[in-house]
Amino acid sequence: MSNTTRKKVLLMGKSGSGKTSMRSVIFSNYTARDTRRLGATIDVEQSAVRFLGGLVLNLWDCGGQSAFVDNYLSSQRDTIFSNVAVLIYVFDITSTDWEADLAYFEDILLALRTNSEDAGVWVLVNKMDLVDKEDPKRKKYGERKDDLLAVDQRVRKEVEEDGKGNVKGVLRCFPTSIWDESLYKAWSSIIHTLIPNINLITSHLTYLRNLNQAVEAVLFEAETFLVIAKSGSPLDCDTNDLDEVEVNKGAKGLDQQRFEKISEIVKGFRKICQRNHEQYQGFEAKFDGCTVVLEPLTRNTYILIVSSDPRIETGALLFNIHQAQNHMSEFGARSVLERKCGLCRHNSELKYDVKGDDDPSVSAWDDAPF
Amino acid sequence: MATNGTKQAGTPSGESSKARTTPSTRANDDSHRQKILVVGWRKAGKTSCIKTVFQQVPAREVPYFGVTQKIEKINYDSIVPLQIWDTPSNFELDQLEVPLSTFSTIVYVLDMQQDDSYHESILKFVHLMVRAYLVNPNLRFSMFIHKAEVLSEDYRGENYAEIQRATSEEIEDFPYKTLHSYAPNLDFEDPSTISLIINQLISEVKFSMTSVHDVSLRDAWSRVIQGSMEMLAAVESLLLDFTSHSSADNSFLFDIRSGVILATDNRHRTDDLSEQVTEYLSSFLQFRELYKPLTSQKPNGVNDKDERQDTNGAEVDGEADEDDEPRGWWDEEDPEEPWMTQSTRLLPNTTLALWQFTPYLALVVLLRTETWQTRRGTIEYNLTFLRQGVREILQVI
Repeated sequence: MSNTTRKKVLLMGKSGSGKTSMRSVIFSNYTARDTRRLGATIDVEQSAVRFLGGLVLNLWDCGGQSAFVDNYLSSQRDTIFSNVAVLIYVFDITSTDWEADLAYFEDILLALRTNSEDAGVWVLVNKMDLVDKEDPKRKKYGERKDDLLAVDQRVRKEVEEDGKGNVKGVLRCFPTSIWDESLYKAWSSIIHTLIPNINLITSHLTYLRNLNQAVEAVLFEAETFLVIAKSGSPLDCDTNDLDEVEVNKGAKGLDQQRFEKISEIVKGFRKICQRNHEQYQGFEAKFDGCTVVLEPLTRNTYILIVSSDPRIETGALLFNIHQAQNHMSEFGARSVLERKCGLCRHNSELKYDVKGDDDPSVSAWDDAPF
Repeated sequence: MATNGTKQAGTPSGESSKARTTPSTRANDDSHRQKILVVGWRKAGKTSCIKTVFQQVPAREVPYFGVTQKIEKINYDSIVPLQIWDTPSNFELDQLEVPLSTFSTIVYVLDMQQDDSYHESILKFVHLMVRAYLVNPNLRFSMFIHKAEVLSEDYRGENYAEIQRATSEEIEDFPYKTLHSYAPNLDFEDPSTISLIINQLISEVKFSMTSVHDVSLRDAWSRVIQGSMEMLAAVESLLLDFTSHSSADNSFLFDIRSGVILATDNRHRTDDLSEQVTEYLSSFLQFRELYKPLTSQKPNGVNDKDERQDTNGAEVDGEADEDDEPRGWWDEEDPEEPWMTQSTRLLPNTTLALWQFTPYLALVVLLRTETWQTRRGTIEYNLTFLRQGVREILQVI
């Protein structure tokens, strides 16, 4: 029944740029302070992270010392660079030898493109916290980004001229720091593109939001607390592209980075609870006219529903979440949907196979419960 | 927020005796405030001790704080209105424009990692304590042994003990006779006078290990503020009553903005527990901040709470006292008031619940999840009495 998808994720970049620190903060519950005790990564450290039940990330944390990198580019070239879903390349903004860093990156990008033409490339320019005080406008980051995009263009051309294929994967740049939510933002963006059935998840979240007359319904991965999807407009869209409900309910005034901040807040508090041998399980709150619940939805996800209608009670939100649980968990673990649902009837992503779909006595998941 | 603005003191001039005779023009506004004097060696962390707690400056900005050039007074409205005086490193007692006796507490900040200047710094503190004791024997002393995060666990404990021991020694060895001019009516030749002072000081001074990166700094301030709360015992017994009648495990009364614990029921309180509830409150407040813009755009209703937050809570509570009819607690409860509430479930079986009491007070209760699920109604009923009791105590003072 289960349709596990394995995705190979390469984590590369020069030694000391912060690859392992990032991985530890995102996947191993390290705080930024904890990363000080990490040593250099030797050769390639592989780890598998299960995500949402159906998705397994095979993380290849590639040590960045030049001896290793030369190996990756020569003898290990095929092993490392084939079947890659995502390359995450980390730069250190404080690095003094940008030209050399860039040259290495170009070699690696070329190796990747010739072996895995569809791979997405995320370039994270890390340690931004160290330069932000002296360069608040991030001029230096802007220059770095331009250089990187130029390299991408060059490599693209080279590969296409050699007739080795047609590069489809795109390159994206993110400024990051392990000390703030920017890291979560970059990784959410990476994860978002790897998740199967993301459109189904989004349409159901939107449905749930409208049912609850809420401002937004947001899905987080339970382990990393990375945001996976949200109702309405896309996760990283511009404030001008919000959908009607969001505009009417005032989502425009909200912090654009709020989901990353929530990831950070929840993970921080969860760590404190673990110290007391307790486990964070969800909350409900009413404040300033908002009603909010954060509740486990499936085994691997949490859902956050925010309503700005003071008449809405937390109990009503919880009831709807519990009603949604069974159906929503189908997306992660199965390839055949067996619950009657008007939203899924016309989906093209998963097989919809519901007995009694035409039988009016069987209620559909999206028949409003009240 | 408007209430904790910083006021710059005028350039301190002249000696203290002169300042004593010229009443400050601001004395009227400040007279109801408990004054806390924060002193310490250069770069000890005085300003960060104050700003990270009372002005909500994030700890990561601490390295960028400039050097404090002159005395700064920070007003803070809490269960007791406070005025915290931040001092520059070259501060001398004679620069104060008000008599030393008007302060209720002196907080001395000592940098734990600077082994080389321990001794001098402790000497300065002891000198300050003795001078202050001579003008006001009721003054309280607190030493924040700061920047604890830089040392390893073992080393930290060792230093902490060493500093306490050195301070006691310096109090015993202090040349009391040299201060004869400050207290002409005391007989410093009499050993019993001296030993009385010594015993008083040694038992009075409270030590706390602090760090801006964890809850220890708030704990230290909690002890300082509790020292200034005359109503502490009354509030504590209310909390104890509420906690036992509601089958809860612990209750904590928080000052919301600073995240400082003002009172607890004092049962099984551990550092881990205080840390957990303090982090709980601050996590929730950060979260709330993210969604605040949703309601601030609304034309009416919810908005007036923010305005209330800026005024003194006691004024808000005392607004309806024109009629003479006998009043019950329910008259004072405003069902429309959008006080925040929150509850968080933890596995295996704990629930943390929060209720806001006044614009600046919140109660955090720790209880079994089963208790919460089966008795929520009773607990919230009991809570209205507790809330009323706390408010009444606040109105009396």
